[in-house]
Amino acid sequence: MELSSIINLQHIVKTYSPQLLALDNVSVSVLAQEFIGLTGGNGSGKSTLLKIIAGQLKPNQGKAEVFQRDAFKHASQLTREIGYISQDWALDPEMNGKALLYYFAALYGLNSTTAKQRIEALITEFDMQPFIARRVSTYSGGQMQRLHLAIGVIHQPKLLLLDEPSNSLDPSAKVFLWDFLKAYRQLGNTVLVVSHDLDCVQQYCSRVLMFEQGRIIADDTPMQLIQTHSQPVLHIKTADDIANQQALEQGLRQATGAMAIHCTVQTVSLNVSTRG
Amino acid sequence: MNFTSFAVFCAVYERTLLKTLRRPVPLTFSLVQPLMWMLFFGFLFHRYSVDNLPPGLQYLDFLLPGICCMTVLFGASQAGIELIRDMQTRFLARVLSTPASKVMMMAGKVLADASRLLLQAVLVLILGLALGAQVQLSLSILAIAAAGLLLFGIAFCSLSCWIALKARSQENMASFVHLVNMPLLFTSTALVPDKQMPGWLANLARF
Repeated sequence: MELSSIINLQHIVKTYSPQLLALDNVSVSVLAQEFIGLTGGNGSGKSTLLKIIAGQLKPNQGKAEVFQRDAFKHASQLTREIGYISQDWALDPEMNGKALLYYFAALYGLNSTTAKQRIEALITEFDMQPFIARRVSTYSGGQMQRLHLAIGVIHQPKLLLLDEPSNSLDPSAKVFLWDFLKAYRQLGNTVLVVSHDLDCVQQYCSRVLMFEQGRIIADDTPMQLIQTHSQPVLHIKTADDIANQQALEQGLRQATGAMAIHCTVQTVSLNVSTRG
Repeated sequence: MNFTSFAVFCAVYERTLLKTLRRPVPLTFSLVQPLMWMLFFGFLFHRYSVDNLPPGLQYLDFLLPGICCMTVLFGASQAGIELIRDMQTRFLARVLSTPASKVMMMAGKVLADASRLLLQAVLVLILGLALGAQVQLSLSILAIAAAGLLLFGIAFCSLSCWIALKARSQENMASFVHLVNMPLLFTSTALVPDKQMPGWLANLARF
């Protein structure tokens, strides 16, 4: 079965001010059921792209279509099909977790029977039973993140957008989060996640978009990207201690032309280019 | 209004009331403040006869309905503060990103605040009666007064929410509250009949 394109971005330009170009002529298409990781340095345009897809920002130029509709013009209709999970938890600290889940279920138009079933399922799936009846102000970071995520998927969106969801999570919470996203994708949904966690992106995502200065500089599967962009490192162990490490580094640099050379007492490490 | 819109209205209504109840200090203060006005103003001027009042009517009797209105005015002017808190925690942005009707959300919020203030006004009325104020009460008078206060509460809560969305900070909101409440109180006939006011103030009150 051929999967259809659910996100279609063409020549997107977004500026926050004349001096601040966030996205520079970005075009990308996303198929249904893809699990895409968006990586790149801070300010490279990843979060801006996610907000444009979510209909929260209007591009200055270009066309942004989600589910064959203009993402910005039809943002309010698309909210039923999109789950946007921001970096901020944006929870009401004075309410308890369960009341918040019911609150958002009502805002997403779920009837009381469906809401009850879905909330109970989410509480079990996210293992929130021990804390869900307490006020949010008493939650730990991991607990808040679980609730934040549960609210984001309460309406079972077909497209889930997450902006750096694993920030400030401990390792077990991180694994839980990525496992959940993998399972969510396997239910037939599409997931786009902005992350600096390259190990997880490599392990879980089916495709990676790498950003730099508002442009997509690489778009491939994680494996392909590693093969294309990584450079093997050659470690040479010396029999004797290296007397003058700095001089050796300098000499090797002049002889090989390689920049990435590092010497320790008995080891020389240098990057070996596979392309030349 | 379909079922979904009604559910949104109910959810926001319930949350607004719940949050008010979970903040006992502001709730108590908003009740105590009008009572203090009634005690200080009421008993301070109770000894003096106020001209142009129907025979037998004491100042405390005249003051009580005005204090009930003041309860609604002071409470309603603070209604927007909750929105500012939601803005600061980004909760409001998250709520607005759902497909729920914005009109129903605002209606739920405003009506929850207005109905709570009406209840507070009734409480102030009962306390005023307990303090010795004598007010002619009938079912029709009570119904008209309640409807009037509810509409006043809705209007002023809406204004406060609008200002809050523009002001975006509690400090700006506090300036608004002080700037509007005091002149509105003193140019109204809550404290004295307009015939007792200086000419210019009476004209302003009539306007």
